[in-house]
Amino acid sequence: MGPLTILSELPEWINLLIAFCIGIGFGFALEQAGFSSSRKLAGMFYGYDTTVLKVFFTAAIVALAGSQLLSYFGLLNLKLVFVNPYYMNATIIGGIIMGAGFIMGGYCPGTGISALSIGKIDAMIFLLGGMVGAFLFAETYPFIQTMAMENYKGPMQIDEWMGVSPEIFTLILILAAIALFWLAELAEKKFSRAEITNDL
Amino acid sequence: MNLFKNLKIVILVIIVLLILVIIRNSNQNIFKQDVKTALDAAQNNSNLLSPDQLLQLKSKWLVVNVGGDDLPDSLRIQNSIRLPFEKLLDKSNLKILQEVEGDLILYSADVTTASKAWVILNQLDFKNVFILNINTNPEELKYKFQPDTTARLE
Amino acid sequence: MDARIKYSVLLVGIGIILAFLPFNAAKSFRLKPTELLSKSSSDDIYFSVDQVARFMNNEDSTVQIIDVRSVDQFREFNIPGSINIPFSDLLDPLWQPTLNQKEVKNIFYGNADQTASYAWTITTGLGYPNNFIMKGGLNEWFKTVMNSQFSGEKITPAENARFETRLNARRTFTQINSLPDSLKTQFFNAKRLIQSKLDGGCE
Repeated sequence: MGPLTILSELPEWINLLIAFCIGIGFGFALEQAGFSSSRKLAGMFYGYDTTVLKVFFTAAIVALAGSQLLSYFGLLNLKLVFVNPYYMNATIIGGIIMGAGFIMGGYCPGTGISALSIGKIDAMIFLLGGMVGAFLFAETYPFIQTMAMENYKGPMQIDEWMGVSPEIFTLILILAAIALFWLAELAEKKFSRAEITNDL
Repeated sequence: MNLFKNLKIVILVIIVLLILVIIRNSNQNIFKQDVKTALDAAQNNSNLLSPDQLLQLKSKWLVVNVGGDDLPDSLRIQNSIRLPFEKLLDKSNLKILQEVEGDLILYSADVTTASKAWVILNQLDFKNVFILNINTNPEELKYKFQPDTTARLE
Repeated sequence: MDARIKYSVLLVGIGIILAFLPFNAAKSFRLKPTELLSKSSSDDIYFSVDQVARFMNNEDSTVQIIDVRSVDQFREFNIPGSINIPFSDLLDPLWQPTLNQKEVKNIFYGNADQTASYAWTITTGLGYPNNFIMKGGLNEWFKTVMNSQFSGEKITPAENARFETRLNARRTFTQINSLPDSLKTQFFNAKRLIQSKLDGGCE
């Protein structure tokens, strides 16, 4: 599994076991952070609760810095990390549809499953909707194929596009994240509402 | 002062990381070059040197024969040494290579050996490494394909 | 002190260290220099043209024959069944899934040995498994497979088999490469597309 050098020597079932444990940890963290409440994600949109932004952005920069350090010490092979190919049109249109779904449903796919596991009915409906969407996409794919394939840019990376090294890009992103967190907390003060997780 | 006291752990972590980074960088037995440098240099044949070019070099140079055979008689060169390819990176040999002043010129009767040695040395950040190229163009096709105009797919 | 500030300082500190890292491990060879050297000095990295001719005749699916010459040279003629990864495109991300895999052997060839040796050393240095060189390149191919003729009075069974292989390879090579240009272009474009299709990936 994966690009971690030490793991590639282990048998398949241990790798799957590790993935399973990481998955449990991830779900636990999501639930702990209160992400199984659809109001958290909606709060991001209305500006009264920016936990989502802070959590995911922090996760991104920690993962970024960590993977680059591991790569530097020869523990991680970054070349094995799959870079999603960039289909410009598909990304923009898909992003809009998915974003609308997020704010209407109050979940992202990950937090949806997290909420499902504690028995939230709205999450069940939300995930059902996601599956129907996936089914419709697969069935209508022949009709939208040309549009989806347009403006193919290959596996693009922002640092290459900006012409800086990946490490410098990480530093830029860390600084941007901290600035954004500061702004987010200002917004929270401005649009503040009563603590939402407690009144349930 | 208070600020430092509060950030004690943070500063400690950063310093430990810094030390690890420096230790890793001082490791001699890892490649640190961007692979692209080898690809670019090899692509336009700027790493090849003909015997004529060699004799016209203004700077100092040393021919290192990494192949199994002797230098050809047509090349009467004084400053050449022979290092077996498989022992190229032994400590003593590496030292010889590092102490070469000017250009380091690799030769092997079978061009594969010198080519492989060149990539390895290039990626170890040796500057001014060339391959001595006896023939005019090593990648020249000496034969011509004769199409069979009557051929059809079966 | 506010935990926010501590974490921020930590992250910025790590970011600054990252920005000044002396080299980028993701862009350099993964093998240790001594490992790469000992692999390079082995004689097991070569296939003879006769072996490659046999792979070609049998359409052996455990190997992929890779032409490192330019696109134009490849179009003119190539070993049937081979794929074209010009040396200049060797590090193209699109080709990495094709090159970096454990299933089949990569056999590099060029007109002679030099470019294939570069390609071999670079891919092996990057940690890709199963790389080989067709010894002698196309020059050797023409000399041995295309132009060799048996001379002598008696032929041993082993020699007979070898010449049989060469004859078959010669016929396929000439036939495929003699196709009109339009057909060849179509054929290779289709092939290139299939080969470069990305596989795998996860969300």
